[in-house]
Order: sequence, then structure tokens, then C-alpha cells
Amino acid sequence: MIGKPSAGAHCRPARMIRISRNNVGVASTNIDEHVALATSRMNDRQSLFLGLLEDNHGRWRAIARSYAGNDTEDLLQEILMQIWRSLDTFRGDSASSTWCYRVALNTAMSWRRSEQSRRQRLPICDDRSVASAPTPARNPDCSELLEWLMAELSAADKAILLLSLDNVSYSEMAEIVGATEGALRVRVHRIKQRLAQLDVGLHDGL
Amino acid sequence: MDFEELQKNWRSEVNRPQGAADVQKLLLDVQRQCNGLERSAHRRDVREILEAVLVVAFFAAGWPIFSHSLAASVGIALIVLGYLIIVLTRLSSRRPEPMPLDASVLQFSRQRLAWIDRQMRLLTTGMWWYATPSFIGLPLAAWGLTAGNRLYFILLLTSIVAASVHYVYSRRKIARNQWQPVRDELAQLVAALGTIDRP
Repeated sequence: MIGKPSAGAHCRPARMIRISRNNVGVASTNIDEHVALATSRMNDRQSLFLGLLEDNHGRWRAIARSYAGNDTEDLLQEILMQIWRSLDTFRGDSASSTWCYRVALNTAMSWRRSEQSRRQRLPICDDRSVASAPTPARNPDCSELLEWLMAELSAADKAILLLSLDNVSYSEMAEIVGATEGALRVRVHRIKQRLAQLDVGLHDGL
Repeated sequence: MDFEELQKNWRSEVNRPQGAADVQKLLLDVQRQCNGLERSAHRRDVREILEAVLVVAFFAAGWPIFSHSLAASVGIALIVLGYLIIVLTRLSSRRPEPMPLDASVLQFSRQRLAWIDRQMRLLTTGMWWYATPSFIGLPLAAWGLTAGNRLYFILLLTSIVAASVHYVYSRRKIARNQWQPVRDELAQLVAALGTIDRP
């Protein structure tokens, strides 16, 4: 194998230095093995990524839309990039869905924070602000209501809402968020109450 | 509209099928972007090392002019040393431990908060060790180069002090305007998640 020379290699300097036809053949075989291993690792990485992508692409897009609004594509790209770069840490200790949620939510929340900070520094803000709440309609559809609810909630509650919308179990939700199941149940209950208030408010003309 | 309806809508969006060709294209895009990111980080590192080499070369070329005065020589040596410290610090801080994005939201937020606190501390107080060699070196070099001419020395020293004040002020402004809002939001998130169990 190519890499650190073994202890035995130091004992045979003449054989190592003299490039005979045979040595070239040995080196070439080693390089082939190295390339094959690297290619196989890259293929493993690619197939793992493709598998996760097929199972979770819709979920990541929905998370990106919830956090980024008009900048969904930018955030989705960022999530995909961070998933790709974090693949080495995927050891199968937790379910793949838990791992994917963690990376996607942490990326989305970080992206939103840095985007808000960047926009605050801009002298003239464009109208695609991620921070602004959408204007509510009299009879909003699901997406509009969700968008408005998301704008109303704190960063922690946003993550909890998305997980409960996706029917994630409380035990998995606890693993993803880092809070206890009981506390999350209470939090989800409060979010549902807030949604009901919002819905009534919209139908009563605010 | 109730929670179940929102949930149904969400599930339909999540379960929307993705074409095989799109998936391959996404993979290629991600690989291309990651490679681009690594290339630009590498280019930035190379540029900073080249800058350091140029600064050292500039002062080395001018050494016959500085070397007639001990004060100027010591001052210039301190400036070069300070510059090298800055470059080395910047290059080493570019290799932080990878972001633990697969940690729970609470753990990740705590780690980010600690990281932001370190960055802010570096910006507001770090300059005293970060830039001290240059701040001592510049007046010394000025004294040596002006050969004791008080007027030139005072002019140079005033410029140096003004530049130093501007440097300190701008670092603090960056910490206050760019980092503090992010820190506040993150602290709020950590507090919300950390105290989520309390009624």
C-alpha cells in the first residue's frame, strides 16, 4: 500500500531505490489498489448520499422553505452541502432520519441567523426578507397559514413544529432537539393552541 | 383549518417523488460546490502566505536603510514578527474542529454559542496580544528612521496612534454589530431549549 513505509521497507533501501521493471510493476499494483480503495470509498459515499437524498429530499426542501421562504433554493443547497460534508460523521449510532433531521435543522437555523445578520448590515434591504412575516389572507391556504405560524414562533418552537408536522415520534424528537419527551409534548400542545388562536383570528378578520 | 390538515399538507410535500435524473444532478451540483469551496479556501490561504512573504521581503530589502539605527532595526523586527503572528493565527483558526452538525439542536447551539463567545473575545480583547508587537515596533521604527527629529517622530507617532485607535474601534464595532445580534438569538434559543422542561 502507498502511505507510510513499513519498518521492513527501511531495511531494504536498495530494493526500494532501484526502479527495476519489477518494482515499477509492484508500485503500479499498489497505486491501483489505492485508487480502487479511494474509488470504492467515494462510491460508498455517493451511494449513501443518494440513498439519503432519495428518502429525504422532499423533507429537506420543506424545511428549507419553512426557514428561508423565497430563498428556499439557497438554503436547500446549503443543507445538501452540509449533509455531503458531514457524511463521515454518519456512523449509524442513531437512525438515519434522526441524523438527517439534526444536520438539516442545525444548518437551517445557522443559515437563518447568518442571513438575518447579513441583511441587517445591508444599507438597503430587498423585499425578500427572511425575517418578515407574510401578510395574512382572509382564508389562507395551508402553506400561507404555516408560513405565518412559523414567523410567529421562536426558533426552538419552529423546529418542534416541523418535527411534529412530520409525525416524528416524541422519543426521536427528543433525540433530535435535545429536550425531554414530556417537555416536548407540552410544547407541541402549546403550538397547537397557538395555531387554533391564529385560525380563529384570521376567520374573525383579525 | 386544524393541525391535522397542516400535517397532511406537509406530508404530501415531503413525499413528493424526486426523479432519478434530478437526484444525480443534485449530487453533481453538491460535489461541484464543495470542491469550489475547498479551492477558494486554499486560494485564500495561499494569498495570505504570499502577502506574508512579500512583507518580509520588503523589510529585508530595506534592511540596509534600517540597520544603521538599533531602534529602527528592533522596531522593524517586531513589525515583521507581529505580522507573522497574525498570519499564523489566522491560518490556524481556519482549521477549527468540524462543526458538529449531527449533534442535537441544543448541543449544537451550545457549541456555536461558545464559539461565537470566543470570536467576540478575540475581537474585543485579543488585539492586545495580537497586535502588540506591531504597536511597539512602529514607534520604535519611527524613532529610528526619523533619526531623533522630533517633528517627524510626533507626526509618525500621531498617525500610528490614530491607526491603532481606528483598529480597536473597528474591531469592537464588528463585534457589536455583526456578532452580538447572532449571539443574542443563539443565547435565546439555548435558554428556550435548556429551560424547556420548566413550566
